[in-house]
Parts: sequence; structure tokens; C-alpha cells
Amino acid sequence: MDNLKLNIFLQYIETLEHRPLAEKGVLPLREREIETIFSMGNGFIGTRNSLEEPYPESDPGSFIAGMYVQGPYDDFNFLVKAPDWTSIKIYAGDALLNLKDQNAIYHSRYIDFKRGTIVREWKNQDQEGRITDIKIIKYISLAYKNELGKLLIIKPENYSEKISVITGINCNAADFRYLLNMNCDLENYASIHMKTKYSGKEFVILQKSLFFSHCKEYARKIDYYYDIKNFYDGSFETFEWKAEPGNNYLIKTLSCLCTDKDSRTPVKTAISAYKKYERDFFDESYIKHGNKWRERFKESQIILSGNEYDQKLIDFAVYHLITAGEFSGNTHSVPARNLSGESYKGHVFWDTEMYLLPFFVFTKPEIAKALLMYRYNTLDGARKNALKEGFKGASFAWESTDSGAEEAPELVMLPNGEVVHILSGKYENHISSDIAYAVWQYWHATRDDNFLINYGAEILFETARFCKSLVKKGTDGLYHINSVIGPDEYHEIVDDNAYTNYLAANNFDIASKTYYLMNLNYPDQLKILKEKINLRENEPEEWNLYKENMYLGYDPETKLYEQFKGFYDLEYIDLKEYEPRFIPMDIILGRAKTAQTQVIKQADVLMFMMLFRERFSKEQLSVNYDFYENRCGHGSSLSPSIHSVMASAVGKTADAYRYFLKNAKIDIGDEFGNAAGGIHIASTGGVWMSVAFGFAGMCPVEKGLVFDPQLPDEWNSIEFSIKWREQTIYATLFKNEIKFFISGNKNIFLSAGFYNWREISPAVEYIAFKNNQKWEWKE
Amino acid sequence: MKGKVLLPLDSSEASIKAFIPAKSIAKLLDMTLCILHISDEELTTEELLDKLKIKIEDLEYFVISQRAGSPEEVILEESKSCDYIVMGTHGKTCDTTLRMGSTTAKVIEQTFKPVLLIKPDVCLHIENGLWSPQKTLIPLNGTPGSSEALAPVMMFIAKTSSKIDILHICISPTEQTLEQSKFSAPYYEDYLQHEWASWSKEFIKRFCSVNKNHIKASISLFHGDPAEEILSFAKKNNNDFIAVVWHGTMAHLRAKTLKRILIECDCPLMLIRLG
Repeated sequence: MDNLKLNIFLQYIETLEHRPLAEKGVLPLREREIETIFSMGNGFIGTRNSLEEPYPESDPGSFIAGMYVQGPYDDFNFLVKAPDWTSIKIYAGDALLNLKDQNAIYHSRYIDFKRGTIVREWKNQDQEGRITDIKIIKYISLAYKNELGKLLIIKPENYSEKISVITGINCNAADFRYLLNMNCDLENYASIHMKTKYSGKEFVILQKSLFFSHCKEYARKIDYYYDIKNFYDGSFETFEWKAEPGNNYLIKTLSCLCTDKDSRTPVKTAISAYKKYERDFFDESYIKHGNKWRERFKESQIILSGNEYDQKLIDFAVYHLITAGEFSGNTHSVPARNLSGESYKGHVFWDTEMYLLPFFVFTKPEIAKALLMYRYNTLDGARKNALKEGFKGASFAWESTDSGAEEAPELVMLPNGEVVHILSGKYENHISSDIAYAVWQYWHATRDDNFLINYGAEILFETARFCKSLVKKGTDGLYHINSVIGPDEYHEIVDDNAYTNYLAANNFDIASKTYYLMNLNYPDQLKILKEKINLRENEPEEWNLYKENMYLGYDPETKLYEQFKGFYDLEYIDLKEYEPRFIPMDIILGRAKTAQTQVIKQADVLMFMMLFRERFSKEQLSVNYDFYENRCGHGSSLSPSIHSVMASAVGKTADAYRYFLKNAKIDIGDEFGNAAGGIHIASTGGVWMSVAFGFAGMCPVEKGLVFDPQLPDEWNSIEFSIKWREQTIYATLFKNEIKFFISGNKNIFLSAGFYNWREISPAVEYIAFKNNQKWEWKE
Repeated sequence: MKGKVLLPLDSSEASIKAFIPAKSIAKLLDMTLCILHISDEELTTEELLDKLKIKIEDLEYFVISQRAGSPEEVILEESKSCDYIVMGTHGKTCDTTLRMGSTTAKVIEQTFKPVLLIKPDVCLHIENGLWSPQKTLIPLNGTPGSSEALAPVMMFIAKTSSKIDILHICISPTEQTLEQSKFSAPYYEDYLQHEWASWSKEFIKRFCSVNKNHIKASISLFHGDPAEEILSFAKKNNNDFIAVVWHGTMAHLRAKTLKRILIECDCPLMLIRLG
């Protein structure tokens, strides 16, 4: 595309209100990143936002949740790339309109936050001087999980000529090494029926389009040619008509993707999706999606005043969070790069529970529950993992797919030819306690006893059992966990990693609390569960004992937690000497050398301090923040957001803001090139956390919710809503004032600052204000 | 119009070393080989070919010309209508204690055409009478400019059976450019088992614009002194052709990497100057 005639350049953030995040022009080298950044999804289907006509630079494709496959020579299960349903080719006369050898007078793509759609606007001049105005709107429905829409509007500006449009499902994008085309030839639909090799899963995509002509002010019927053609590389509808200048021509397309999990006859199920609409199926689907989008965006949105740019960064994160979560959960979960790219192979990591779940727990608890149900449904896999490694209970996979079996590879070759053993699958055990933490966080915020007693309890008991089998009693009389990897993966196989131990202690605590809660309120369900998992009477007592006597590496004198035993003895490296730095520290120092230093990859001690913020004094937080922030190389994209929250907690709002920006720009900044493989979905969750838990200072505790805002200088206020124990809290936070309003039917407790509680009743506005650094309630 | 490969010769043995590589590029890319003899003496074509020890039957599409005058000026003028220059690093003087002869030094600094430099002691892999590199080393810095500049190298490589080793040496902060769409090693490597595969794929797609399926490109990543890394990589991997993008000045403290490669490498070296 080097001969591309561009009168335009890449500009991400546009000031026009209706285009909050836009990419103007085309920059071929970045095309695969743009496809990720503007990707679409609904948690069941995800599609890269490729240019609709083909280019060698494009990497189009869709991903269907749960469509995992493993060939006989593959080390692990992975998510197979499915066909691209967004393909459109437009011909003026015989010329294919394209950006490569024609003149793009104007070209722009953007996310329309008002409608939850992706829009492309393109004014093209071909070699014959014909100018065509094109607008393409695409969406993946939030209302019905199987529906995919694309609307094409074409207006020839200065010519009268035949226009042809070939719109359909492009199978070239799919990974044919792992897919079989089943040749589904339907009379009224463009159609694709595919089956995964080795795993035998099926999916069907049907497509049906309608043609409309808008002659200046009124719509009229014109003659057009129409056919459906099926090829090995796809199935396409063709429209052909004589176009007149100034008229708008619309092709409205609704596609429907069903799998054999939806029904045993996915083709019939897909056809029935169209039948539910009475008239114009596209319009009805589009409206339903738009309505659902507006509802979801409204309940998830964070509104800032004082900084338009940051507002767009937050909107971008919320867009991806909503589209990642909507139909996710139960049988599948959100992979590390969402359903937006091939990187990370569709594997699910701790990212989902620790970075995404808070957003859903506090804005859409139903989705949080569905995501946790995925873990419940993979408990058997987790039990097998534990057994395989010689432990008890359930050990959740570091990299999980559909069965819950460990899918992390054991070896990898680095670009310098070095073969490295991947130890995360075997030693990064904290993921089980992380999931237990997430179960409790959900219950804590929702008081959903039904979930806790029927599903959550089993996760908590089995993970507590796993932790117990990790623990060894030391000569000091305390319990230790040796040979693990904490979140800081620069230091592998260490003893007493503070994060692992702290989360294990919490796992024991919440498991025993759940046991006693069930014993008191739900003895019948407890009895059934005890029988199911052979829970002994004394296990909860043991858990309590382990919790009380866990070694945590805390020094009351310095108030520091030692990240792991022997950490203080390692060489200190002054990271400032390496600034400005553009590559990870372990590349600079080498992996072996890095392991011998105090350089850490990401928040480890600071991570658990963030999770249990209410348990620590400001002094403890500050001491540990100053110590570990200074040693953190941020080699993981998961690092900046946690540092942002923690910097807010210790009152360093300038640091917090710097980390917020660093995290929020991970995908949209043109710096790393690795957005091409898919969105860093954990970072988008991190954006929400750094605003809600950081700048808004939200901290859930037993009694209620604390808000201790630490707004950066760049912002005037933050406004968002939170779901808390079936009530919706609307909070507007200024630097020195907080306004609360709740809708619901119960009184709840809110605290302005730590701690200044007030019982809040629904439908009344409450105001707290800061007076001499102390929060007070206005009567 | 057929493309041209310019082969300037001064009848020295060192300069004639460039004949086979020049002939090979012309043949593989279907170009005309323009043999340019720079000398004050006037010779017939036969005499000239005889002097240059070139057999007429070895030539396909060719033009032979003779010109007198300042060699670099003549070469630069003639190169204006050519696509590639292939020349020896040294000529008549052949002072191998120097990186290259003065004519070559002036040519490479002043031309924007790709220059294939052949050292007097070069090792060439010959197949069917043609130079056919087997393992090409291309150091890439992760900027679109340098990858675009490599197009002439890629065109040639695509016609051979050579594998490509792309070597990315992480850009040190002082060398950061503001060029859009550049990227170096990822700042974040969340889980290296996935990050590197994904990074390598994108790096090759972005900066190694080879759309031919038969070309096998692999990427390696190093951090450190570029010259040191390039030379030790080339030695370890038996690279027999290196292509380097450079800024076009050999001034004091500039082109440190290239200067060292010129001295130490013993394979043909193609220089492409950034526009």
C-alpha cells in the first residue's frame, strides 16, 4: 500500500462529539492494530474490524467463544479463527473501489458510542474520476447473541453507472487447518456451515440482505439483479443495479451465527432468528441492539468533567468491557485478548477475575456471576490439575479453555533462539486463591446467597483444600508455601511469596466463613455439598488455624512486607538509570540476571494491598508503595493500573494519573505493535479500577462502601453508578464534595473518607464535603 | 523499460570480483548489465572484455561503455539511470587496511541507489554460474522508513532460495525516532509464551514486506551493541549476505555500525541509503 494516495493522516482523538474515538485516513502498517482497536463483540462472538474489501495488510476474522480445537501435534487447546462476516466489495462499473490504487478523498473509522456501532466513512475517487460516497455501519448485537449486522450506504456523486456489491462471509480469513467446510447450500441465504477438525464442534453463519434505493427525498423501488453464490472460500450475495448520481442506495444485511451448543440443528436455529422479525429484519435488529447498548453504556459509563481526552480513554475501555462481557460466562470466559485477535490463543488467565470482574461486580453483577460460573463449570478440570501435580482440592489452570485443564505450554522459544521452560502452569498457584477472592468479592457486593451456597462454596472449599496441600509447617510454627511464582514472574520458584501467602490465608478465611454461614442458614445445602465433596467436619477449623498462622513476611518495625523470602538480599538496581526506557528490564539485563535483582515485573505486594486496602493503615500503604514502586520495571501490561490505584490510595495523585494514562493508552498508543494480536482486555478493566478504586477511592468493606476521592488536578469531577447489594448508587465526586443518590428499596451505609459512615435512604440526595481535610456530611 | 545494474570497473582484480554478483542480479531481476569501464585508455569491446577477463558468452543483456574522468563522478552520473550499483570495495590501489577505496566511499555517500559492495576477499556461494546467497541477514530497527528502503533487497532475495534472518536490535533510547508506526521490542511481555510469537508475527508483517510464500523469514531479537550483535549473529548463523539501511554519511562518529561491519564481514554487503 505504499502508493496509497493519502491526503489524510492518522489522528486518534477527534474533537467532534459524535466521534469520540476515530482513526482518520489509513496507515497500512498499523492496519492490524486498528482492526483490534475498533473490534466488535458481545462475549459470544468477536470480530476484528477489518476494511471490508481485501488488502494484503488486513488480518480479518471472527472468534466464537468456546470454539477451541487441538490438533494431534499441538501442545495446547486454542480458539480457532472463524470466517469474516464483514466482507463487502463494491464495484463502480468494473472497478473495485479500494484504497490502494485509487484516491481516498476522505476516509475515517470510528466507534459510535451512542449506538454501539463501528462506522466507516469513505469518499473515494477511482481512476475514471468517479466519486463515490460510502458509509458502512457494523455491529454485533448486544440484544441477541447470534446477530451480526452491517449496513452499506452508497451514493455515486458524479456518475451514472452500473454498481455491483458483493457482500458475504469470507472463509479465507478462517483457519482451514482446523476447520472443515460442510458446504451448506441454502436457497434464501448466503451460508457457511463449518466443523472443527479434532474437536467436532459446529457453527453456522447465515446472511440475508435487503436492497433499498433512496432517490433524493423519497424511497422508490428500482430494478436490480440479485443472486447468491457459494464458493469454497465463502458465500456471497450479489446486488447489481444502474445507479444515478445523488441517490442513496442501501444494502441492509443481517447475519446470524449459531453453534451446535445453541441447538442440535444450528441451521434451523439460525433461520428461526430471522423469522422472529416481522418486517425489516435489519432495522428491528439494529434498533434492539441500539436500545440495549444505550442501556448498558448508561449503567457502565464514567463521566468526567475537566478533561475530554481522558473521557475518551475511559469510554474506549468501557466499550470493550461491555462488548467483552455481555454474553460471556457459564461455558466460556473472557480470554486475555478478548475475542479480538489470535494472540494468547483464546486462553483465560487470572486477568478475568482480578482485572475484569470488579467492573462487572459493581456495574452488572449478572455478568460477574456468569463469569464465575465458568470457573464453577471447570472445577472438575481444576480438580484433575491438582491431582496431577500431587495436590488436593482444585487447582485452577493458569491458562484455561473449555475443560479447565492446564493449557500453558511447557516450553517456548524466544526470538533470540533461547528455549525457555514455562513454569507458570505448574507454579503460579495463586490463581486458585484469586478465583476464591473473586467469588467472595461478588458475594460481598451482591449478597447473592443462592450463588454462594450452590456454586461459590464449592469453589471456596476446593481451593482452600488446594492451598492447604501447598502449605508446610515450618520450624517457626508458622505455615509456609514454598516453590511458587507470584505475580512478579521475574522471580520464579520462590519461597513464601507474600501475595500467594496472603491470598491463601484469605482463601482459608472465606472458605471457613462460608462454611459457618451455611451451617447457620443453609444446613441442608451444606449437608449435600459435604457429601458431594467429602468435606470432613474438622476441615473448616483447620482452615482457620492455617489462616491465623500463615507466614506473611511482614516486619512490624519497617511496616514492609517482604515479597518473598530472600528478596531483601538481592541486588538493588536503580531503575531511573535506565530511563527513558522502551523495552522490558529482563531484555536489558537478561532473564537470569534480572532474577538476581530486586527488579520486579509487576505489582505483587502492592497487588494484595490493593485488594485488601481496608486492612492497612495509610502508613503501611505508603511505606510499601515507596519501596516497591521504586523497584517495579512494569514488564507486564497488568502493572500500571494497580500502581495507579495504589498511588491514589497513598495520596500521590500525580503518580496515579501518570499510571492511569500509561495503562489507558496500552492499545491505542502507537508504541508497541502488539495490539495487533488483540485487545489487552485486562487493561480496560484496569482503567475502570484506576478510576473507581483509585481516583474515586471506592473501597467495599463489610458495613458498606467507602468513597475517599483523590481526583487528579486534570479532572473536576467523576460521576458513575455502582450496584451494591441490589441498590444502585449514583455518585458524583468532586475534590472537596461528594453527592450520593441511591435508587432501590433498602437503606445502605456509605462512608465519605475512612471512616465517616452515614445510612443512606433511597431517593434522597446526600452531600458530604471536605472541611480541613476531614469529610463531613451535610445535614 | 528494462531495469539496469551498473557495474563500474577499473580493470583491477579487486573490482572484477563484483562481476558475478552484478551479473546475477541482472539475470535474476531480468535487467540489463551495464559494465562501465573507467579509464583514460581507449579500447575496443573485445580488448576491454579481454582486459576485464569477461567472456562474452557469459553475458546476456549487457551494455559496455568506457569513460574517462573522475571515477566517482562518472559512476554517480551513470548510476542515475540504474536500479542497482554493484562494485568492489576496493579498486586499483587495493589498500585493504582501509575499509574501502576512496571512490567507493564517495559513491556510497552520494548515491541513493542500492549499492552491493564486494570485498576483495569475499566468499560467494555460486550455483550454475550465478551468485546465490543462502542466508541473508537483515538488521531492522523497527521503523517503516528502513523497511521500505529494503524493497530492492527483497526484490532480489525473492528470486533466490535464500532464507532471511531478520535481526532486531532493540533501539536504545538515544536512537528513538519519531517515525509513526515504528515499534521495538514490546514494553510489556505479559506472558512470554504468547507475547513473543505474537510480536514476531506482527514485526515480520509490518517490516519485512515479502508477500511471497516461498520466502522463509525468521526474526531474532537482541539488545546491545548493534555491530557486535550483527557480526556475531552472522558468524553463528553462517549468513552469506547482509543488507543494511544507513543514513548516508561516514563522517566522524556516524555510521559506527556500518564501519565495523565493513571491516569485519566477509560476505557481500548491500547498502541502502534512507531517503
